This record gives sequence, C-alpha cells and structure tokens, in this order.
Amino acid sequence: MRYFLYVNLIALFAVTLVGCTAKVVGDRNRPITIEAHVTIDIRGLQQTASSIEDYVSGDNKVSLDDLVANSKK
Amino acid sequence: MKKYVWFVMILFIVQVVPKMHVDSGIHFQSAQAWADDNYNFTELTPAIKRALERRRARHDTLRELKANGSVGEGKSGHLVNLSGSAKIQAVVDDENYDREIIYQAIVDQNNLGRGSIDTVRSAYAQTYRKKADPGDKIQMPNGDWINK
Repeated sequence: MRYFLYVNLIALFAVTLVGCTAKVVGDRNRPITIEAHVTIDIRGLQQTASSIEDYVSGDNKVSLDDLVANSKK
Repeated sequence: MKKYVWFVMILFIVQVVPKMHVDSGIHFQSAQAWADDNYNFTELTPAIKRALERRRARHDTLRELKANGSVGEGKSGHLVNLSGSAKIQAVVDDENYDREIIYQAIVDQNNLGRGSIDTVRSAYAQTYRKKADPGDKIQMPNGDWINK
C-alpha cells in the first residue's frame, strides 16, 4: 500500500515539474460557435455622434479628449 | 496513511491546479456589448484623428452646399449628392470616406460586432437630421426627402 503511495507521489512531482494542460477539443468539422447577443443603446450612440458632430462643426467647447472614453480632462 | 493522502491532496491543489489550463474549444464570435452612457472612442488612432480633422476642415464647405440644396443627409449616415455635379460628388465621397472610418472605429473599439455597423450608421443619420439647419435636405428613415 505504501509502495503505491510513493509511486503516486513521484508521479505527482513529475506532473508538477512538467506542468499540466487539460484540453478539451471539439470536432473540427462541427465547430461550436456561440453568437453573443449584442445590445446597443441607441441613445448612447447618438450622444457620442452628437459630441463628434459638435467637434466637427468647430464647437470650441468640445475637444478631441472629450471624444475618448475615460480621458483625463 | 491518512497523512500521506492529505499531503498528496494539498500538493495537488497548491502545485497542479494553478497550472491547469482548460480550453473548452468554444470561442465567442462577437463580444457582449453592454448598454453604456455613450460609445466614445477608446483610443484616438492617427487615422481617426485625421478623419476628424478633415471633416472639421470641410465643415464650412458642406454647410454652404447644404444651404443651397446641393447635398443632403441620407438615411444611412452618408452625405448624398443631390446636384449631379462631379465636383460636389468628390467632396461627398471624401466626407463619406471619413465618416466610415469613424463608424468602423466606434464599432471596433466598443466591441459592437461586425453586424452592428448599420445600426451605428442609422443612429448617426438620426443625429445628422436632428442637427440639420432649417431648410436643409434630409432623408427620413422611410426614404422620403424633406426640407427640414
């Protein structure tokens, strides 16, 4: 019994040294594709469009930095 | 006996589990886009900056062309030449080229998915209609042209 434990222990060390990769591979002929549902907030798009058009029209209140998300103002 | 089992289990958890890499083989074709306050650029690339600057430089010319009815805002987010003039068509083509750079950047940088470009164009078209001056020609979603 103790012999098996030692063998297991050695095997475990070997696996530890080499690293372990468990890979599940599907059928290449039938790839699994999940079409994620995309929800777009139209008002958000229009808000961005409005800022861009304000900049394009020469509105000095809008800078390039204002068109970048999380920009430091 | 028991202490060996515990030792093996702890060794497995500490040493092997962090190294395990599971690839399910399932890959998402498009990312989830969450409703957000806006869809700003995440990065102003040189191409986007140039497109914005060219549009800004072109603005006064287009304002004149809109005022005399030579061009109008189409329902798909593009400027439309209503005059038949080749010279005006060149200006319209340049403007639409720059608009497309911006639309594509909004889609790509916000992970909206390839099929979302028409939604972006429509949303921008609505903004152009809203911002049009009185008398400008605008195309409604049903295809009809009206003077605002």
